[in-house]
Amino acid sequence: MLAQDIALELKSVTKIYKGSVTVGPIDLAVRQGEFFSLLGPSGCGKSTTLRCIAGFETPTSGSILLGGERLDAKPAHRRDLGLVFQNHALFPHLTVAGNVGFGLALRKVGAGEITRRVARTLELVGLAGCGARMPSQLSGGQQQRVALARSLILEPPLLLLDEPLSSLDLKLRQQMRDELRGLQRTLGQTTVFVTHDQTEALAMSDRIAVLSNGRIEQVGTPREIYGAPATRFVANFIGESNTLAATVEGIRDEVATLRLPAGQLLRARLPAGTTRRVGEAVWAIVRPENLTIQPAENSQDDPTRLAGTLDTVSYLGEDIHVRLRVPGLDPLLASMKATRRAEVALAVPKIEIGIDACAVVVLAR
Amino acid sequence: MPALSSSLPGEAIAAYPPWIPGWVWLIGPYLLVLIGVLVLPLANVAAISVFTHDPRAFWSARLTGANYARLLDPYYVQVLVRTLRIGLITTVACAALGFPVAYWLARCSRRVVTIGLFLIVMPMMVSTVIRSFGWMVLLGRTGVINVASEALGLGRWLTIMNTEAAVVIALVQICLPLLVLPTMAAIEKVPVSLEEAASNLGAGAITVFRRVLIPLAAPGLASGALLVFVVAISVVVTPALMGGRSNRMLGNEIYDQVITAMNWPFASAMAIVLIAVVLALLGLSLAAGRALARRSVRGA
Repeated sequence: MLAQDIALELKSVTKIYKGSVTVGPIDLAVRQGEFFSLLGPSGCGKSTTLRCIAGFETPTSGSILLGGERLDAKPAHRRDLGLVFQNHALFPHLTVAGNVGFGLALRKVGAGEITRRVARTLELVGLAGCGARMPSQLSGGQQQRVALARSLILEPPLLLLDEPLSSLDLKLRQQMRDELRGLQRTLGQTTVFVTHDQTEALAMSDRIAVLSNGRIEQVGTPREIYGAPATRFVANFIGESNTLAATVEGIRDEVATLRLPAGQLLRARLPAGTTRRVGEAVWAIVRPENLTIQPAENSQDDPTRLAGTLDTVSYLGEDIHVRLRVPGLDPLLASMKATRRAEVALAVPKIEIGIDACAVVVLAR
Repeated sequence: MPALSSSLPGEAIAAYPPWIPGWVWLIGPYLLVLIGVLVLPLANVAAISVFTHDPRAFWSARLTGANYARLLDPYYVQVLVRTLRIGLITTVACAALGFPVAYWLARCSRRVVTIGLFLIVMPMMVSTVIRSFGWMVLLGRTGVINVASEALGLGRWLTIMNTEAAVVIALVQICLPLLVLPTMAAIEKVPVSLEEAASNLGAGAITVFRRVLIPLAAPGLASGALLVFVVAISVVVTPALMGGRSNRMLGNEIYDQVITAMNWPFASAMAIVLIAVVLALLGLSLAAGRALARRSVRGA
């Protein structure tokens, strides 16, 4: 990453509260024009990190830089950042236009100029002509757009979004997700997005930082985070996964053979550059959609097939989720498209499970 | 629920007998008390205020405008002006001192609020007479401050007793809780995120107060200010003890006319004028509140 590409940089930012909660040290670099998500469960420190950037919390140590300049030395009202709150935080005593023009009015911009820019920004977020309404007369989605317009009108070098979609219902949330992402791309707006919703983060982000217990677990593109989780936490937090305790039995041509506790074997393709020793205790992580199920055949000699039985089958319309029992292992989860073939395979109680070696992620135990 | 909202409050309570609507039982008893101890006596005061003063029998039922005319005497005009001035200064001082306190209380932790509220409310449990005496002990010519100052060799420099300022100081202390409590309740309803949003958009602390907190807490602030004003212009004890002969307020004049001069018709006329002033201000502040709300709807 070239230095001039970096918009926002956090250098070992920590926040220690009087109690036991501690965040950091957090190191992050957000690129110019990037949509960057901070993803994690509640209490993981993502909101604290965002509030440190916005200036509502003072980091205990570390520095925050925007465009190479120290941001943490300035008070919140001098940082010129955009921020959209979870509850929108619109001023109820001002009209939509009053809300959107609030920042410009504080910057002593002329009334005519404010009117023009408010109209243009409202049009940008799809609320043209709504300027005279009061926030209370708008739907949740419209309020969200006003909050967005209120920030965007100031053309901030960095836009912070604090779970802005979580107060909306599902359909609207999906629609706003696409609109927000589209708008961000069009404007090339550098954005930091805080969410606990992995689907949102995967769908919208250029890159994601997964946080847990105040620390960054992994930073990467959605594909990397999902396909190659760096830790057990990431594997379990992002999507579903089966985590199997195993030992490395042998390695040949970058394919490791793993032995499961009950003696079954599992093949895993190791990414180039990974070093695993024979005899090492590892976690083998497999996504449910990478398990294939077939009716059991008499041949037991294929070592990459696990013999098992069906426990529960949940039909979800588009998908089928299956819980499988394999001797010596915790129940495994498998998911597949609800096709005719899948239903035929699931009609027999005794089955065989195939696992693609490329889909197994091996982590140190 | 259009069907419910069109009905009167109290309809949900099963009323018996059915031909008496529910609200009669809910507000009826208090209404009766109010009529007995407020409306009827007040009507009596209004009637007496247009009767003629009679030294032998308090009043005689001959109609006259003389009691009101007498209020145009420069002395009484001066008293009325002073009363309103003291009320106004007290209200403004209470608002200036009380709003930050109300804000602080509204934003601090539950435990601190309990202690803070206790400290705010506790003085209200002490009678105004005792509190005014307390101020005399503190501010008097031979009071605590002057004696201490003299002991330090600085002399008795404090000569505030028997001035309008002394009355205002005592009144501010007496009235402050009346402003803090409703204002605090109003600020509590303003989410902290609104302050943060304003700050994020470039507003410093003073701008956040001026553009966000004060407009949103205005209803609470206004009702608190009105309470303070009404109490401040109708006090008797405080100006009598703190203001001396030269800083009498309308309350003192009414008291003297009733107790000393026995001129009840004139006392009644002054009381009616005081009530009229309060009602006029109430109407004015309501109208101002509506105008403000309309202005903010247009986009401030």
